[in-house]
Amino acid sequence: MLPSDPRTLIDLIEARATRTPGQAAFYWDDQPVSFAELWQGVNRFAVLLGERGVARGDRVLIRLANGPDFFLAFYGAIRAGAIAVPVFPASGPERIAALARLCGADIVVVPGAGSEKIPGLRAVSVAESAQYPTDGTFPAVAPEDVAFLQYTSGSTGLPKGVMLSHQGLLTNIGQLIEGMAITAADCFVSWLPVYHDMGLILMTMVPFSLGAKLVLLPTALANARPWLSAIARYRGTLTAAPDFAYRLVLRYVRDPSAYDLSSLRVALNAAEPVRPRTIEEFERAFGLQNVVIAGYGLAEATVGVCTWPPGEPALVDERGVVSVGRGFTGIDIQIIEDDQPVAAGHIGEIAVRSPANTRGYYSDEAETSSLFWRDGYIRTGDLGYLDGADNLFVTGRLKNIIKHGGETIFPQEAEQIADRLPFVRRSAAVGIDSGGPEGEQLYVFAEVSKAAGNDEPAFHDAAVDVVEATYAQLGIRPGRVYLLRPHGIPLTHNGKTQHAALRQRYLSGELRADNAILFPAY
Amino acid sequence: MLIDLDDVGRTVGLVLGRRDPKADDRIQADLGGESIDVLNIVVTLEQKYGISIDEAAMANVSTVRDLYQLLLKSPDAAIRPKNPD
Repeated sequence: MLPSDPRTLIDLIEARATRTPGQAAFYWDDQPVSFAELWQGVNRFAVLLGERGVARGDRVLIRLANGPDFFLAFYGAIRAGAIAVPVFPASGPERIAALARLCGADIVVVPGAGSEKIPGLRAVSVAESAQYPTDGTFPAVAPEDVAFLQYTSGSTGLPKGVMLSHQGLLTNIGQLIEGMAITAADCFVSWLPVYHDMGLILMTMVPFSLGAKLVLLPTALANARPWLSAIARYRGTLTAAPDFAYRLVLRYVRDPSAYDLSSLRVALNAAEPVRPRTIEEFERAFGLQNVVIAGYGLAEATVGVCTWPPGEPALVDERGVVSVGRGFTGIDIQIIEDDQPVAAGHIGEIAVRSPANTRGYYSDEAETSSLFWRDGYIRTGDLGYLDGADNLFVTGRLKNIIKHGGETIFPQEAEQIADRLPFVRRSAAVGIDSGGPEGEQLYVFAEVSKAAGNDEPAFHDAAVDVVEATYAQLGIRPGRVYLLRPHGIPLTHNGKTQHAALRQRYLSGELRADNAILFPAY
Repeated sequence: MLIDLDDVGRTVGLVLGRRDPKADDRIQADLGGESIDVLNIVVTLEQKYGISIDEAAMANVSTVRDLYQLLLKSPDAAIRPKNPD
């Protein structure tokens, strides 16, 4: 740790730049970027933002992919007194504009001069700050200030901005370090997106905080090989990914012995349901033991709540659920049903109290008040139980949400996107795991009107439009889009979509047998 | 089922949300496909044509045309190129 504990993220970066200026903050494209370079770039960009009128508390959208510019923009915005708002960089202009309206931002950091214009937003790039001075007058940043907003999917169809304070972030960083026994000797290898909490906090803020080595890779991995070869080349000790990424490796890497992963101490498997088979097969393929550990967390608790202790054999219950371990220091987990705590062994909603819990969603009082149970406990919307030793097992979800490639999506959000297309009468989004290596995926079922046309080529184009619109808004592509005849989606008497019934009718083949599916024919 | 290059391109486009992928478009670099999308392309083609694709060979697939040529190598006898390329 640093000699005097930093109170803000800015203190943290400044302390590193002062004490170990020449040390690499991270490696990008095999090139080191030192803490001194990082700090100078942060200050230059903060000066530029100040000159552009960005003031304390303003929101600055950051539309950048993994790479050095992200960090300059992110910490530069915070240095300038603003609240950073990382957004999925491939989001379409409509999505960016919608997020800007939600958080009241009027400026967005983009990759460069050629970037697409977004109506109503001023654009700025890190490159523009290259000739700026590194000294300026910056607003004081306080530990309780919101450092950034993490947007997550919302049940009303609008995303919610989780407010993350410096204090909460530094607390969770400490919890992660202790819970996963991380030290300055660890070497992090990460391709996780830095514009999302696990990739940003666990995989970059934690190594910055310790001065541990960080090898950062692009998110758009052509396949799993760059990840594995970076671990092998840098002798990586710590990596993290959702379950699907480990499954991808197992499916695509024909010769695991070509990659020496023996340096790995921890391979965290989190952000979507953990399959025990993935852990077993990955460890067997690469000759590892007790390295892949399951973890659990949520943006509302900053990011990490618990992980299985590294080095210990995984604990799997009779249902085949892998334990995600005990809460980190300072975290209390309760299982509740009908607003009351239940005893060990009983399944209920998981509620989490942590000093790193968010104080709520940015300018969204309704969602904020429904987030809390009592005494600072956050309702997670996940179902699970604690065993007699307080080990948490996550068994399912209370809320109707979809987990797709490590992202959490509320069906309403995907449905609103499809419903806006002129040829869609009504749509339903469901999470479906067909048992294949791709895992649970977002499936969009759209009842179409005559406007969709009446032949295969027209239906094909309509389905392409659904995928395109979903990707532009949510940053993920549905696993499947099915176009249905009118009334193909089962409804309740009062006209609400019956998601569970739809999923069941699809999986049993009834939807196809009843001729409800117009497209595709397979 | 007969497969042709255009049809493979259309299926890739369906998964990726692209109307008209070209045969020489690279699935990842040009069309923006991510790992999970590539997996979905494989699963979709398998369902559509009733074949199984050698996933390990997918590592050498860059363009739509590469993918088509991989499908032609499938051991499933039903497959014949409609327009030999």
